[in-house]
Formats: sequence, C-alpha cells, structure tokens
Amino acid sequence: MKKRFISLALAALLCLALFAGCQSTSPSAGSNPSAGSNPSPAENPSPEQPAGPVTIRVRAMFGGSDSNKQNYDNAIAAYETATGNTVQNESATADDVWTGSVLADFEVGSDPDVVQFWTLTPGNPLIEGKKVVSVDEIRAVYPEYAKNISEGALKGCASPVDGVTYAIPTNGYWEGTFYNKALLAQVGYDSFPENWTDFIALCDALKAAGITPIAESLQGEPNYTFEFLMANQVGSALPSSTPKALGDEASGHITKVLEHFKTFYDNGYYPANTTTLSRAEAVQMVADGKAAMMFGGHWNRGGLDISTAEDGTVTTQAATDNIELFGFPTENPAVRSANSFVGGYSSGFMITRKAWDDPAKRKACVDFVMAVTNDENITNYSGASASPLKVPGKLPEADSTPLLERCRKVIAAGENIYPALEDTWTATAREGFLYRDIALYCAGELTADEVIQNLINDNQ
Amino acid sequence: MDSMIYKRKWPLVIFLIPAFALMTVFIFYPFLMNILNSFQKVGSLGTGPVPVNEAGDMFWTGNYEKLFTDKTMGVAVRNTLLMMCATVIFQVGIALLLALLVDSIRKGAQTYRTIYFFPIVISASALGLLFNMVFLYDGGMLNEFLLRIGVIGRDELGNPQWIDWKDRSHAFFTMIVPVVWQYVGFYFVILATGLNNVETDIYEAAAIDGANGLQRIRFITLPLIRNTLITCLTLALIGALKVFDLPWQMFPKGIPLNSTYLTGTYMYQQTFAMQNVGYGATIAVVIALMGVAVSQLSNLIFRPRDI
Amino acid sequence: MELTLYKRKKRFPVGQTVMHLCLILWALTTIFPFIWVAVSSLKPSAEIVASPFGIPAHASAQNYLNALNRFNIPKAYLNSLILSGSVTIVVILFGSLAAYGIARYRFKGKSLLNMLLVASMMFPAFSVIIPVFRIIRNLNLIDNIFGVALPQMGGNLSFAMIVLIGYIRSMSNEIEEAAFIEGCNVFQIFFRVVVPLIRPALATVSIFTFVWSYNDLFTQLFFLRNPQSFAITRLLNEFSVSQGVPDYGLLAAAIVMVVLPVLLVYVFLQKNIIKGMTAGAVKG
Repeated sequence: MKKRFISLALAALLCLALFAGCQSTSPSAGSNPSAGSNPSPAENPSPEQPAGPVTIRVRAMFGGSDSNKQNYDNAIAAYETATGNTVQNESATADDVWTGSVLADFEVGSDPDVVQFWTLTPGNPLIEGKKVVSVDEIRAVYPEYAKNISEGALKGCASPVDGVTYAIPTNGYWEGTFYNKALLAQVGYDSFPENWTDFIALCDALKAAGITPIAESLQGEPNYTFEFLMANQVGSALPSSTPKALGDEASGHITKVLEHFKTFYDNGYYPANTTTLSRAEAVQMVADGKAAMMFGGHWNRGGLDISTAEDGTVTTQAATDNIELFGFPTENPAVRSANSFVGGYSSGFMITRKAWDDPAKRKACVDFVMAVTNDENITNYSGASASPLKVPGKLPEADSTPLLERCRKVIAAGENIYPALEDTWTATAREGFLYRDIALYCAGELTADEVIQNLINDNQ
Repeated sequence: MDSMIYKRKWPLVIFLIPAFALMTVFIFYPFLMNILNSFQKVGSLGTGPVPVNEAGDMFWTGNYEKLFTDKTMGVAVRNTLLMMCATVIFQVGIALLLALLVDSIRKGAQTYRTIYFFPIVISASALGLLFNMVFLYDGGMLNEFLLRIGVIGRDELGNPQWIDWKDRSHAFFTMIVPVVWQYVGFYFVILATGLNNVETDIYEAAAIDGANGLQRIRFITLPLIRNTLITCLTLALIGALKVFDLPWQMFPKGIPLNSTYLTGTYMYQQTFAMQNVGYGATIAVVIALMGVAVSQLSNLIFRPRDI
Repeated sequence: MELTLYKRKKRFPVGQTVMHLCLILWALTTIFPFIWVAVSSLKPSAEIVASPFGIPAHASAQNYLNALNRFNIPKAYLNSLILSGSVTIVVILFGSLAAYGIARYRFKGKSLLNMLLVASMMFPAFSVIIPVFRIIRNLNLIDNIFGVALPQMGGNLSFAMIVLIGYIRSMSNEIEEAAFIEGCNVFQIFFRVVVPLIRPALATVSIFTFVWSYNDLFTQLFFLRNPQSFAITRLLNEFSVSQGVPDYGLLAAAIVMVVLPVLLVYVFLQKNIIKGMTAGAVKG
C-alpha cells in the first residue's frame, strides 16, 4: 500500500534525525565550523580586503512597534546601500525566551556575527565562553571603532566577569522618583522634600489626606526603591555592597534597607493591595493621579505620558502635566545627595569571535556596528534615557514630549549617577531577593537574617 | 474479544513506528536529556551544565534534596492537587452537563458548539488581561458591581472598601475560576464527540420501553460514553498538573507572597526567571511522575472497558 | 431520516426552554470575552486601561490599519496555515495508526507504552527545548516553518493518541470482523473501515492540534528569527509591544486577527462531528 510506504519512509527519516541529534550532543566544547548559512571563506588571504559583499547575521533587541525598531531598520538599510553587504536582520523584543534563544545559539555553535546583548550578568556566558571580541582588540585594528562613544559609557558597559568592555551601548538607563506636584501641593509641599524626616512627614500627610503616598508593587518591581535605599547607606560603594557573610558590613546595610521597606509597608504608605498589585497597575495609579509618587526608571515615562496615535488622536494620561522627576530623599547628604540617580548601561552591540576570525566578515561587522551606533542613530534610540555619546545630540521634535524634556533636564542636572547593585547579582539572587523575599519580610514571614542568608546563597 | 484479525502481530510495528519515532526524537530523547539535567547544576537556559567539582559536571541529588526542603514546592504541589479536584469536578462536570443538554435539544446545537469553543482559541494573554480587569482591585468589573448592589461598603472618607480578589483569602478562587471556565469548552467538544458514538437506535428502543430522560442518561448514555469520560478525566487530571498560561498571567511569581504557585508556574519561574534550569528540570521530572501516578490511579478506579 | 423523526416526537417544549436557558447562560460567559476583545480592538490602548468595559469613545480601525501597514500579514497567515496544517495532518495520520494499534492489539509492554504516553503529555515544551534546538539545527531547519512543525508534531501526538484510543476502544469491532471475513487485510480494515468510523474523533483531535500548534508561541519564539518566516501568532506578538509597554489596542486587534481563522477552521471541521454524518458513514 502506498500510504504504508510513506509512513515507513518517514519513520526512517526520523530515525536518521534522531542519530543526527545524538551525535551533536557529544563534545560541544569547540564551536562547530560548519554552522551558519554561508560557505566558509577560508581561502581569503587578507583580513583587510574581503572578496566582495557578504551576508552578516545580526541578532538585536529592537522589536515591537516602537519608533526605535523603525530607526534601526532604516540604519540597516542605509548600511546595506553603503557597503553592498546584506544583513540578515533577526531583531526582536528582548524577553526571557529571547535571551535563552540567543544563549542557545552560542551553545549549539550557531553564533550570529553581531549580537546586541546584555552586558551584565545575563550576558556572562558569552564572556566566559570567549564568544565575543573586546572593544580594545577591535580598536587595535580599527582605531575609529566606537570613537563617538564616551569613555564613561564604555566603562559602564564593562563585563562583570573580567572588567573588559565588549559592547557598544545604544542607550543608558536611569532610575528616580516620579511624583505628582498637584497632590503634593494639596498637603502643603511645593517641592519634593530632600531629607528623610521631611519625606516621612510628607508620606504621613498624604496618608492622612486619603492619598496613597507611594504606588509600589511589592512583588512587581521594588528594585528602584531598594537601589535608592541602599545608595543612601553606602553612596558610591553601591555596586560593591553585596553581603558575603551574615553580619558583615553590607548585611548591616541590607538590614537597614529592609527595615525601611517594613516601615513603608506597616505605615500604609503603600497601596492596601501592594502584594498583589502588578507593576503596570502601580504605574497606572500615578498616571491617574491616585497615588502621589512612584520610584521607577526612564522606561516608565512612556506609561505616564502622552501618546499620539497615527491618526492624530492624542491620549493624555490624567496626571501627565503634574508629573515631575526627582532623585530620591537622602538619609545623609554626606553619603548620597538627594539630587543623584541610579543608572548606567545594560546592553550593547558586540562582534562575535567567530565573525571576527572570519576574514570575509570582519570588516563588514565592524562597519555594521559603527553604522548602527553613529551619532544620529544613537540620538534616535536614546529618547528619555541617558545618551552614551561624547556629544549628545538633540532629539527629533516629533519624538519629544514636555514630560520627556523635563526628565532630561533633571537628569542632566543630577549630581551623581550610581550603577545599580542588583545588576551585579545572579538572576537567582535578583529574583529571590527583590521579587520574593522583600515582600515576605514585610509580611513578617522571614527575618532579615533569613533574607540575607538567601541572598548570599543565591549569589554563589 | 480477541479477534482473529489481531492475532498476527507484525502489522503492529507499522502502526506504531511513525508516531513513536517522531515522539522519540522530539519528546522522549529530549526528556531524557532533561532528566540528565535534573542531576546537574545548570544555570540559564541555553547554557550547559556548570561544573560543580573536580570530578565533572554531575551535581547528583542536589536538586532533589532541594526539592524536599523547598517550602514553595510544597505550596505548588498542594495548590496543584486542589486544582486537580476543581478541574475534575467542575471542568468535566460542567462540560458533561452541557454536552448532554446540547445533545438533547432540537435547534441551535451547532451554534452552541461554536460559541463554547471561543475561550480555547483566545490566547491566554488576552484572557489574562480580561480577567485582571474583571478582578481589578480599584474599579474592576466585579468590585464595581458589588459596590452598586451594596455588598461593598464605603469607609468614613467615602472611599469604597474594595475587595482584593488576589489576596491570600481570595487568590485561589480567583485563579481557579478562569482556568475551569476556559477548559470547559475543551471537554465539552470531546464529550460531544463521544456522544455521537451512541447509536440513536438504542434511544429509540429505550423510549419505546418507556424510559424517561434521566433514566436514559443514567442507564444508557453514561455507560456508553464511559471510555470518553475516562479519557476526559485523565486529560483533566494531567492538564491540572501542567496548567500554566492563565495563572501565570494573573498571578506571576506566586503573588501574593508565594501562595499561588502551581507546579507548572513554579517550574517556569525556576527555569526562566531564576535561571535554575537544573532545578526546573527536576520539577519537570516530578510533574511527569505525578502525571503517571495520577493517571494510573484513575485507571485503577475507573477501569476503562472494551465493549 | 429516522433520527430527526424520533427527536420531533420526543421532547416537551418546557424542557426544551429550560435547557436552552442553561445553555444560553453559559454561552453568554464564553462569548463575552470575544466581544470584549473585539470592542477593545477599536479603542486606543490608554482607553482600554482607563475604561476597560466602556463603549469606545471614537471607534476606529486604526489598530488594524497599523498591523496591516507594518507587517506582511498575508504571508504570515500562509506560514501559519502551512505550519498548523502540516502538524495536524501528520498528527492525525500517525496518531490514528498508533492509536488503532494500541487499542486493538494485545502485546507486551502495552501498559508501559500507555504510561509513556501520559508522561509525555506532561513534558513541558520549555524543558525539552535545548535538545530539540540541537536537532533542529542539525537538520538545518532553524528559521524554517518546518523546524517549528516537527517538535509540535511530536508534542501533540500523545494527546491525539489518548483521545483516539479512548474512542476506538468504545467502538465494537463487529464491522472490522465483517470486513476481515470478506477478506480485507488489517491495513485495508484500518483505512476503509476504522478511519471513516472514527471521523468525529479525528475532527476533534484535528481541531485541538490545529489550535495548539497555531497558538504555540514558545516554539516559534525560539526557532523563528526572520520576520519573513514568522507565523501569524509570532508576528502579532511582536508588534503588540511598544517601548516595552504592551500596546493593548494593538494586542486586541491582533487577537481578533489571530482568532478569526481558527474559528473558521473549527466551524469547517465541526461539520464532521454532527450526528447525521456519522450515522451515514457507519451505514454507507
């Protein structure tokens, strides 16, 4: 019978596939040379003169429907016209699955040529596996590489593994306090209080007036509160303040921070449903003018701001005009000024070792990274976030909003910017401490020592 | 019932090989690797095992030891067992009721069949969003409704005293209702298919013998769709073990305070967010073992019969 | 037909009304989300959050236009059809063969096989993804719709088999016996007698296989990189996020666009579940 034959043939095919699969699981140490869709260009003599147009494969994290995706696509088109090379553009929104699939690419030896990836802990496997090339190594051959990027930004991108910079950032991030000045005015404050006593008094006044002082989702994103409370204890030592053992100095600081969280929680500064509130709902409370403040990052600006649809309908969040940005009240101005922020760089473009060692692709990749990180493109990508450029450009009129401009002004006037502590932690520690244990501590189900012990264990 | 047809066994090989070859390559072999991972320390997805000692990559029972001291895993298992009871009783129960009703109406059966299917095709992210709006604390559909009919009162400042549908005392209810609701349509379709198998002549004979509606269902319909019902029970039991999407949309990270994890959501949390692929693999093994145990148990209780 | 005749004379109108009332009650709950999504798709994102259950202030098809302008939607629909269609066909063919074998033959290791089937339903896609990824890469099928199809076939077979085994076991084998006596071999019996008989179950399994394959985002996220190879679910998932914030308006429009074709497939396949046709198949 015909169908029988087909089934048998398919079965045979699948068995073959199985063996292929088994085979590949044996030694995976060396990267597989036959990977990728391009024929090996080993005959090419000089690395400086590629034989002709090549195709490079790029995985980046510009996705969704933002204007940045469009900017990125345009930059690629311009690069293709200028060089004659082709870009296999595999850009998508970065989430957990995306991150896993990039790591899997490297794990099975199908490395892309250029990758835009995390520079901090999630990106460590690329550095540990020597999969990407450092900026210094590239500069030794192409001195113009990343010339337009400020040294501070490059240093901010250094890998926690070896302190070497591999990535060219497209934008930085910052964290601060968004507050509603109209609600503050209602309880008699015409600016955000800078010192701790006044801040607590403000929260009490808001609370008494029936206004939720702080929109916090305790299991959503308490990270910003944590970073600032911690910075208040240790100042510029923030990124190196992970406890190593119970009772060490950092443990003491963490204990202090936890106590502040508990104060906020017990005094009712948080919404009644803070343990079940989602982060999006918390942001919405501020956008609707139902809560007086929230601690957040530059990416929250969009949720509090105006959005203009393509048909011209403008949707304004209720409180937009009253939203202002502030640093965070200080507990000791000698340690940390109220007008300082948490921020830095978390991702950037890297050239893979495999592409760098491929004479045909080396120059194409260098040109590509330089093209997508030129002044104009970086200015477009950065929006409200910090620009890594030596000479920051001016944002196009169309992309700007009053709130965005207010934020940029406040950030530019900031006295200091501290890289975040959580970025030096493992994912396990970050998840466990920030999204689980802080809430459990506030609810009285864990002691401070238990929380710190978990943090120490999870960071190993 | 041993028929002559099935005495010669060799055709069996041809019946089984295509399906099992595919499953071996894409399910069994990868799961064997997953079992291997459960004995290793593996960090984030896409990276290999982390060497834990000089001897090699094996971590041996470290993940399994953790399993037994992990309180959250206990919560997840308990919630999952409760979820199982709820799915068996309500999902299959409501589905059976609806299937019997649709089977006995004259007009519109087709329309009901289509409409009941809707919740299955709409993605969990949409349903999660919808149910979050329904159960929203401040001004959600349910709370607004309860405020209007006076169940929710106001405090002295005039603010409504909203019910937090996601707090510890309500969370399980809020999680289970959408899950049960979504999959009723699934079992409904399977049961409706099973009811087709019942030859209408038997009903006619019963009608002539004077059996009323309920008697017909009890003595004819139910025994005849027994195997289909058991299929549904099996699917419902193991479905409860891996239910993931909707609870994750509504109760990410076991909010509030680790109280709403299910085995499916906890494994996802460990694998992706906490980047403990090794431990996630261990939970996957536990889920598979629980699945086998539960289905064996249900087979013992409701032994399927050949007719 | 005798069937309709029997139904006409049997029921009372009161009973019918009560039954319809119950059915309508449930129908309202299942149809409400779809209507909600459809109405929401006509609103801008902020309005969905601000008044989730209100009538759109100015209904507009902007969300749909955005989707159609920015992405190659027809190509993605085609990819989805190839993906879910091929998965469904293979699962039905292989699944029914194996289910028939397991339901009718007695052999050693049958209970073990049953256990494996149940267990394999429990293996979550994300705990087997890395080995599968290796295999797909070795087959050179990354960024290819069939690279997504193969693991999905493997993943859906156990469900198909469990349902089909249950269905076949509840059929008497008299017709098979009769065919055997007339000289059919076991493969002829399978294709000419069993397959027509289990058509309703095949339709059911097809529907679910199709829907799951169609909605399975995870495998697509992992294996598809180039927008040209995206199936519709993957494509629309990509664009419903804007600046890291979900764009609910686009999301709702995306859902409507994703759901409609599946409902069409369902209505089409469902015709096979209707009673009359089965009866006809048995007799014919």
